[in-house]
Amino acid sequence: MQSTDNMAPWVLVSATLAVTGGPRLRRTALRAIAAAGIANAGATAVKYLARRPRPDSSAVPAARVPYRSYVSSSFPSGHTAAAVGYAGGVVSDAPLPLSLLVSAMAGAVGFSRVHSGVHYPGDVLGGVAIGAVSALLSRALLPPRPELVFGASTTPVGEADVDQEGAGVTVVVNPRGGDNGVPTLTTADTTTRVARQLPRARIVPLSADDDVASVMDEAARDSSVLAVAGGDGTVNAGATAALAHDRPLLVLPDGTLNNFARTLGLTSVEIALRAYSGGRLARVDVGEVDGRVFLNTSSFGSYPRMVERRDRWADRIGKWPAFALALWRDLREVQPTPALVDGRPVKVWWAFVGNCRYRTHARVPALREHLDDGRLDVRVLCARSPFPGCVPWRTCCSRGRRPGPATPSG
Amino acid sequence: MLFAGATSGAGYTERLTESLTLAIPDEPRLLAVDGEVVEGSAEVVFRKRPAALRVFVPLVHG
Repeated sequence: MQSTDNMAPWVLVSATLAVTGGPRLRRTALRAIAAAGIANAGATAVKYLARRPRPDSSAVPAARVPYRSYVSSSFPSGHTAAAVGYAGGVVSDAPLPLSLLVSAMAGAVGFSRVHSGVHYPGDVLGGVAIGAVSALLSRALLPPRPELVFGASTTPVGEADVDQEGAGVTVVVNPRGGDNGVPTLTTADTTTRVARQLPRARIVPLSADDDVASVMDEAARDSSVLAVAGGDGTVNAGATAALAHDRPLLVLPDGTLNNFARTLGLTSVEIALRAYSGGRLARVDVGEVDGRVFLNTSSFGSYPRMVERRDRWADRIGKWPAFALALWRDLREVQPTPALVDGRPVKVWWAFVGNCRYRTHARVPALREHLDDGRLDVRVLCARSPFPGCVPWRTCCSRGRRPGPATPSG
Repeated sequence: MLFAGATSGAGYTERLTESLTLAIPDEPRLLAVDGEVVEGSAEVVFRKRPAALRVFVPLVHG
């Protein structure tokens, strides 16, 4: 278990989760590696205080002795602390097989530290305690993302008599639904799956030169069902066209976050295609701003400025680096915008308007349990305080409520 | 019209409503609409269209 030196396997597992997983597993990966880092730092600090000599390993068979020697204090076991911290960060919300695997690895690390003669059992127990505290701390910092099991409530309108082979359906596929406007690997896969399940459907791939609104409008006009495969921006364009022509909309989640699809309980293309086959239709609310439809959120102030910068830079440096850079610039330069909110003059840092009520989680509007509550969720942060940066935290502490920032997570 | 008591404190407010009017005197009047940035008008009105859109939903659904 010397392979756990420098937290190498934990960094590897986290990197794999971050690259291959969705938003939830990326959060898990970040929480777990943060827990391991905190545990490692905590164990190192305790070692300086404890200064316990290592056990005499002269009686340990050579095959079990590590190739390198450890000169730091025996108490506590830093390897065990990091391993238990990492496992604790993972089991908060990871799938059971992954949780069991990582927990077994952590147990093996603890056992091996005694088995190889580099630690006393008490050192390992000390490491377990530090790891457990670190896992709790990281969980408080990055709590698991809440998920709806079956989707938000909607208003049922009965079952549609759909053609099981997709006759009358037009599927608009946006290959730019992923990061950077670059076609995603899943796009071809989505098109293949749609063509296989709905062989009589008309599939319209969007190209870079297409006017998305025009393509959607034509597709909705000429079909009985409009299906859209892409991210939330594509779904928004599809919803606008479906509303204009009173067509039912089938959402195929093929973007980065897929907030609207996930809220409906359509967490994969397969589930969405099964929803079409089942023919169950429901009505949901939409929001409207300046004549534009929104299904998730609309906002004003610092967030649109940050997104505008991110989109401008994304082609050159990638979406997520552009996001980080734009966020950094915005935090440095942001100024409140003078506005009248319902006739009242204020300086607005940001205004968030959600289509239906959002449940707040970890200080952000996280998910919706209803898509038919007839309400807009309005959250506004105004510059009344001389120290506006402290406002959300003061509000949070004084009222026990958590204000949402301008970057809703879903 | 408010459906629930507003939460407020030190410049921060939360409320549930059917509409919101935002007058923005200075340009640029940038709005994010489902993640897309658009230019807003001088007086932006947010409003609800209840149960407006028909969508396909999973058979096991809330």
